[in-house]
Amino acid sequence: MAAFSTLALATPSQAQGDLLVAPTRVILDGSRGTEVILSNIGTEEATYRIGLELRRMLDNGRLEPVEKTDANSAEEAALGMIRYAPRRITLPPGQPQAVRLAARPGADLPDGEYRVHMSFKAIPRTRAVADEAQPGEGVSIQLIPIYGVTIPIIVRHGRVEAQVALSQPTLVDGPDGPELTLTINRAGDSSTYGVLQVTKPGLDEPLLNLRGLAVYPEVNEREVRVRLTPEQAASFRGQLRIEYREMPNAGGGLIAAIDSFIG
Amino acid sequence: MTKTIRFGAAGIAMFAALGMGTAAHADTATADATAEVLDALILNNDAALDFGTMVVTGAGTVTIESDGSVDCTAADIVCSGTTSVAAFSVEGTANKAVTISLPGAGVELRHPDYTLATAAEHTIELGTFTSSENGASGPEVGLDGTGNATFDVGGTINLDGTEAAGVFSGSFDVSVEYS
Repeated sequence: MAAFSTLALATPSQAQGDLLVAPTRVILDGSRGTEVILSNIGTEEATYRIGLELRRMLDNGRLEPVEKTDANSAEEAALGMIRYAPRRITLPPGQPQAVRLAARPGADLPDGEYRVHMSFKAIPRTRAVADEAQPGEGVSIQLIPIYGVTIPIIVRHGRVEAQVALSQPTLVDGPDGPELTLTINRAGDSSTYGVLQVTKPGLDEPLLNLRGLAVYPEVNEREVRVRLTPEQAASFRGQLRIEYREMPNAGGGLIAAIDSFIG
Repeated sequence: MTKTIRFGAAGIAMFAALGMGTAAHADTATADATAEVLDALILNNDAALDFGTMVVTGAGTVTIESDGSVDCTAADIVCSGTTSVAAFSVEGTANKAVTISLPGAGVELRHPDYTLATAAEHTIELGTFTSSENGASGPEVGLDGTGNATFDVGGTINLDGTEAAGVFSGSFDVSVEYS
């Protein structure tokens, strides 16, 4: 057995490809470009690939990958109008670099919101030959996670708007305990993005504060489900005010609100 | 209850106008005093998914659960060595829920001597990826009040008993999807 344990050392454990991306969402008005900063925060030089991918939001808020061959016409238009460079960056540790991007919508593009998700992924380095073949008995496994992040790139072309309402706030018993559920109804061509806050009259602190909550145009009814501790759930009973507001740095304007009594 | 919000073309150039260029203008006397603090998204891989070493004399599966526990109960497989889940840490917008994407299908791991003809003994399938953090509808991680969270990823390998000794290697994708 002692001989086998040495084989386990072949599995790499050092992180190569840790990354920072800022900002975390980009909105383009179609004429003006912007930049996203990618920084290597790992301890080794790393090469990153930058790509455009498609995601669709499900009714439950999850982002599901969509193959480019399955793209609908709006998604195809979005893929076609985004220009960005570079697509591959090699960075020493601690080094940031800007990825420039811009949208070039066609002249006859219908008004609307177009979206792609920009992915930043570390490319695993080719392993040294010495690591390739480990003599000995037993089976061991070398797994290289290719990990990265995606952020939405949103192009608002022409005038787009959304109508939003909140409905049916309810406390339910979920599989892992109590949950607050709520539906965000959205209509129109625009997505919405903001903070969902639950407050109780007389209490200064909000009971719940969900930030960065997006509802994309492909979703007309988004279900929000929040797991609560039993103590939290108890505090939710009674008169509540639920507000969906823009993010503070976007002005914090009220998008939709509902006053509700939860028994 | 319903409110209409309008996004004028000018109003949404906000991100485009963000202060990336601020530093470049810092040497001019009339530099703007405003500074934009951008929300950043950070992803670190803190530990690799490691199944240790296995002596395989027959078919079976080995699972590393996302909580780190190992299921190596198959009669013909003996596990040894250190195991670990893949561990990730995320830093971003406080109190935001973020989708985690794991491979939906299995991933093929190959022996260095892999050829098409010897695929059976030189291939192991890694599948059933699981996340320690899940929302009501799939892998999802909630960032805490300071914008931090961690999640672990486990998986299962299927062995058919014919595997040649050696190091099988392969890669799998983990993506953190910001909305």
